[in-house]
Amino acid sequence: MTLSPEEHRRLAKRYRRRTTLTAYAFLGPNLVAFAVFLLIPVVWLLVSTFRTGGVLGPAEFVGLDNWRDTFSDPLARTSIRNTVVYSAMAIPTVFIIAMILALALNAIPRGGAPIRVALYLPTLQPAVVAAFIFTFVLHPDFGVINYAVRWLGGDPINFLGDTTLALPTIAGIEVWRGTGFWTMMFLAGLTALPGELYHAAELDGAGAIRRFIRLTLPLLRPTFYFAVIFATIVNLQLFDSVFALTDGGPVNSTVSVSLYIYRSLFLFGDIGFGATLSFLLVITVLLLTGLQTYLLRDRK
Amino acid sequence: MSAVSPRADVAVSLIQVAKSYGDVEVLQPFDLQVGEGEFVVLLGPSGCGKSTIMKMIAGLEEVSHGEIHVAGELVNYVRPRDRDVSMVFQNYALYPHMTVRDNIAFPLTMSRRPRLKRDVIGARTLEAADIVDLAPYLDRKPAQLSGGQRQRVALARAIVRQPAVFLMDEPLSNLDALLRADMRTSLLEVHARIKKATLYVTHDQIEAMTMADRVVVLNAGRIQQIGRPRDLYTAPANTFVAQFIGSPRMPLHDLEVRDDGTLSFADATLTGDADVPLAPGASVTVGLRPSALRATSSASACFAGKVTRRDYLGSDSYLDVDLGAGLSVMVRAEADSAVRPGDTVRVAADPGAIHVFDDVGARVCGASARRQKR
Repeated sequence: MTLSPEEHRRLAKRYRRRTTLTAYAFLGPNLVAFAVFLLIPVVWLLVSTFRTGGVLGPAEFVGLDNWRDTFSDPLARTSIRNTVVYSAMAIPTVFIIAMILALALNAIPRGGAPIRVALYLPTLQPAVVAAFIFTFVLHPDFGVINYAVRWLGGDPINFLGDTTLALPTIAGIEVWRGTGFWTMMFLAGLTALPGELYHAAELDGAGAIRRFIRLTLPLLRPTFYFAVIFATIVNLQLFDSVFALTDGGPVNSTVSVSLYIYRSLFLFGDIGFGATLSFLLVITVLLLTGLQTYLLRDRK
Repeated sequence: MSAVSPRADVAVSLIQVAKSYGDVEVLQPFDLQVGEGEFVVLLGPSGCGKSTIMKMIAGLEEVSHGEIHVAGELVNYVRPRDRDVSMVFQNYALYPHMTVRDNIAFPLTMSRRPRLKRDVIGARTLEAADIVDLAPYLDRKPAQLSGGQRQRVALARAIVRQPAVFLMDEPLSNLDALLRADMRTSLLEVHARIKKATLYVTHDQIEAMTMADRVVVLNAGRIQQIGRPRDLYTAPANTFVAQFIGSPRMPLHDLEVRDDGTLSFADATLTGDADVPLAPGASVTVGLRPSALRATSSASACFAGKVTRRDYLGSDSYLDVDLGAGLSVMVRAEADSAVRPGDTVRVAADPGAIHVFDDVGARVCGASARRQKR
């Protein structure tokens, strides 16, 4: 006894609907959270960029005033420049150090576990704790580094009080915090690479440096892809270490976009301005992610 | 160190080579010489140490003891790339981000002494690709090729360097049966063309028997026998080789030598063909090669028993025959034989069918069987 084509169509449709519904049932809770905590706030943010007030007093439509203010505000420009300069210093530095450490750890046949733990510990420090630690390391009067500088006969260096040194110092601290994380990330990528390929390359005459350039770098492309995007997103949101160490000083030389947004929203109560700056940050992150996706795509 | 020294016409020479990891000895000391142009197969079950031998020759594993000579030179302390060996890996080990052309050319582009010109690299790459019929696929990436094509890329990459020795580590084990047979032929054609010493690792006895000039049978880190395929089949050195070579597997039976130096096996008498008769009372193991036992209607049959099972293989059939008293043999029959389980058959033994091993499993002699008078 076989079914009619009509019956087959009906049953196939029902079967497909059932599997689709199961998929949506699993996705549902996530989609709700996405809408409530991300989609709606971003839309509200966009609306807020065209208004003023709205938290303590009634909101008022102001057109493009907030956008004009943002682009003409010198401190907004400074904060964007600081954030970009900071990212340009911190991301390549942490990647290079982490890659060297990952390659070294990957070459150790055994006994790497304690070193991995030691490397990862800084990543586990909250920024406030790291700031506290670095106060003792960098302080002009009682910091360890300046103690050494004085012992060597030099003048104390005011790392966080000097307008040219403060931002690189913060970048250095963030590199210290991030090195463990990125080392583990790259080490995971390296460990996953097939050993036979390296044996083949060794027999084919490729030395360690050429194996790294011709094999490791191209094969780690998916890891780099994730790393570059993730690091960009995280670093453009630089806030906690600046907040804890310098509060944007000296002379706004370490004001980041996130810190300026925080000040605008929570200290000055300028909702429209803060919202516009926030929205600008969201768009920048999205554009950069898109650009990196394009540049790092796998060319077939 | 051993008194053995490498000969000039020998491409690879292993002298008392052994490998251990800490206290664990994975390869007992052994000697092996591979002649120029010779095709030697290392055969054994998984974990017997055959790939370790290969890796030690390539320089990918350190040698714990002994000396390895390639083309007359001691290479124990020479880097893999300077050993003049090429290796084909089980999983091909192709560089996934490079085209077939770049994969094949890679060893040449890495060459520093001498540094090769671009047109030389191009010409040699094409030549190697031609040998393995890959010329139409040079601009493809490995992911766009079939398993057989990928293996040919790996082979071309090994050929292009024109090394003194080829090492092949189970190169066909990832291919399906049909492709494997084709690739076996291709590999032998390539070998006949380039005539270089080749060491080939496999656990597949058909590959070993069909391809090798000589086979090295390994088990548990110890060489069991080195010989031509025919020698392994007709005169296995021990019970391991006897059972590992040949399909179906040779059944073994423990017996005791009678006072007259013969053995009683079911209703037959087995007489050893050695110059020295078997010692009365000695414990021996007897193996009967299934392919040399025939189901027959002839009166010259030496055994008779009841068929318990019949395996049809297309070209012929194999019968499990219960001879009584706990003894059974496996016997070849015509493919279209009418014999069925439950039938009684007579069994004739061809010369070379019966092998006698001593109590530690080493081969003592062959034996002939004749029906006992009742």
